[in-house]
Amino acid sequence: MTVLILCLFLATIITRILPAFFVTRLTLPEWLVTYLNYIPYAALGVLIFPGILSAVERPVYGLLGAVFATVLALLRVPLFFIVLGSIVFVYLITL
Amino acid sequence: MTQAGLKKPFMDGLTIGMGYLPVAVAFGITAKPLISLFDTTLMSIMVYGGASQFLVLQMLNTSSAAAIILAVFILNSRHFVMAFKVNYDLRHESFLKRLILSSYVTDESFAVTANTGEDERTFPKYFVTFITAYMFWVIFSALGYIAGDWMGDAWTVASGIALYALFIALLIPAVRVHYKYGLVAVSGMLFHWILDVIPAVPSGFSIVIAMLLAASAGVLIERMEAAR
Repeated sequence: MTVLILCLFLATIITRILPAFFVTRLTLPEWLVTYLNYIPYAALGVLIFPGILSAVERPVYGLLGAVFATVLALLRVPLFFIVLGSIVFVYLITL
Repeated sequence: MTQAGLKKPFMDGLTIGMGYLPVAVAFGITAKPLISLFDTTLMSIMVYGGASQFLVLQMLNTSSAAAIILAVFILNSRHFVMAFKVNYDLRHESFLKRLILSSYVTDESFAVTANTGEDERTFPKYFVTFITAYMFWVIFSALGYIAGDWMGDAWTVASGIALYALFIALLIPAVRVHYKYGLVAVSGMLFHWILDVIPAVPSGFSIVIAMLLAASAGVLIERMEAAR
């Protein structure tokens, strides 16, 4: 098992650290910089959906939790309390 | 670097940590009947990837080691794209510092730091956020294994929303700045959804492909705006 974990470490770390070796040696064309700037928002979308449907017991609870988090975010509630508030909210609606 | 300057990065790390906590505890609980406490903690220390660690537990009794390693590699390959951006944003920092930070890139640590302004792109700030989140992951994996029952079932289930709330909380301010970021995110959701339905695409790849496609949608929107 420990050997397997070491192999998994290698399989995981390689994609993480690879960019460190060459990124600074590249002069990225302008379109690629623009492209990179969209990656975080693309990633957020991909990570939110459809995963949210299986986040908690039932898809609808996940969606309600998402709506609640959205409302808190629109009200400019600090990040930390959005996370905490959403947990409490989902806990209460699943009671 | 003043301490006050590191308060926000620490709070950011704490926020990710709060999201990790229930997932890590759940990982510890799931691991308990399958592997030792040492291996559970070691996996959290060395692999540091929520979904992939659950995948390992799931495959443990049915798949070969090679299959498990390949599956984890594919699932975590998305970190390449994220680490690429982190390294680009921090290209003024030394190789060693970038190497250290790169090892702690996760969906969450990337998402939290990716939207920061130019002046916040420094090694200490990233490091404090990354390492705080990492500590939560490692410590609560072990605690989940040792004493998983202290968290009631209902709370564990409800906590499943935590990381999604974090992602939403990160997305909304960007959409407030410009609706195009919302369009990019929604296209990411749709691409991921569509790719998920196709059984031939491993889920790790569908994440990467959807991410890359959605980011191109952003470039496209920007081009169309410029043309107008």
